[in-house]
Amino acid sequence: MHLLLAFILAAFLGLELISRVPSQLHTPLMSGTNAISGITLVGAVLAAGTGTGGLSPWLGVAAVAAASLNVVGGYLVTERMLRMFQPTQKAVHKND
Amino acid sequence: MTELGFGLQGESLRSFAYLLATVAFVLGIKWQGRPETARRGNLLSALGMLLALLATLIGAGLQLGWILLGLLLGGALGAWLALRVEMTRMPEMVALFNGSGGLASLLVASAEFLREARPTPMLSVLAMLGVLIGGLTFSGSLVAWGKLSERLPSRSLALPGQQVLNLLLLGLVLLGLILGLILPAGPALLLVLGGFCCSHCCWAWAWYCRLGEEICLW
Repeated sequence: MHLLLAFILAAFLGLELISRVPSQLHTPLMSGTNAISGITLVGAVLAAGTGTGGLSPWLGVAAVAAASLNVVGGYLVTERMLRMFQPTQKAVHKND
Repeated sequence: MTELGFGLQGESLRSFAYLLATVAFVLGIKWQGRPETARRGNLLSALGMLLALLATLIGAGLQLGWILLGLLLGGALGAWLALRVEMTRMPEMVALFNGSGGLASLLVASAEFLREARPTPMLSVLAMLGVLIGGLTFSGSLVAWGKLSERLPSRSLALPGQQVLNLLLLGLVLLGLILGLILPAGPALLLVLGGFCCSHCCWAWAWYCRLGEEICLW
């Protein structure tokens, strides 16, 4: 039941957090939240590290690789996008 | 988590680290909503992820060798792709990363499901949902990537009899779910899971080919 509670609270939280965001930040925000979804990495590490033999740990290792691709790539791509929004730069980049 | 050999103290330390990571994610998203604080927000969110990862890795009982290899391979590939991609090619790269996250969810759900000799109905349902949602994310993101990079035509792609096909694939997905719940453990479950993955990936493919344009617009 606490999983369901967390799920519902997270849904409301997400709605509150991303409302009223200026449109030029939508793309980096999308990319940044996508990187957070790579938190599957934690589950992947646990699945890979709990040695019971069989297929499970190997699926876990593959999941670790896929999730770290998501995490590292996601944060770096977001950083590169956000570098275009330096507050010192007065020029507005219309990239979306 | 007791089977992983965590003491009570280590367990609560880890929970606390997860709590801090959650706060970092929430604040990070909040900061990313304003141009002045957006970069700081992304950094905070990344630090939260690092904390969550370290807290998990440091827990005793994990065999670290293969995990570190996976981290290194995935991380290096991600960094390489993210740093060399042209600015105009960013959206399709995000689609690709999103897809790899979906693939990870699918694999984690499969691993958890196959680990148990007799999965509880709760675990079965959660695993199936994980496979379904992860697979949809994976195949859908691949189509979005294909369309954004112009490897696929950006118009709506539909097969003849698409709706019948969709219904058929949805039926297969539901069948897989039911079979996964009632069949005993063992190789049969692997088969069911495999069939389940294949069928719903086709379904996702067919579905997203129709919805591709909307997906591209995020």
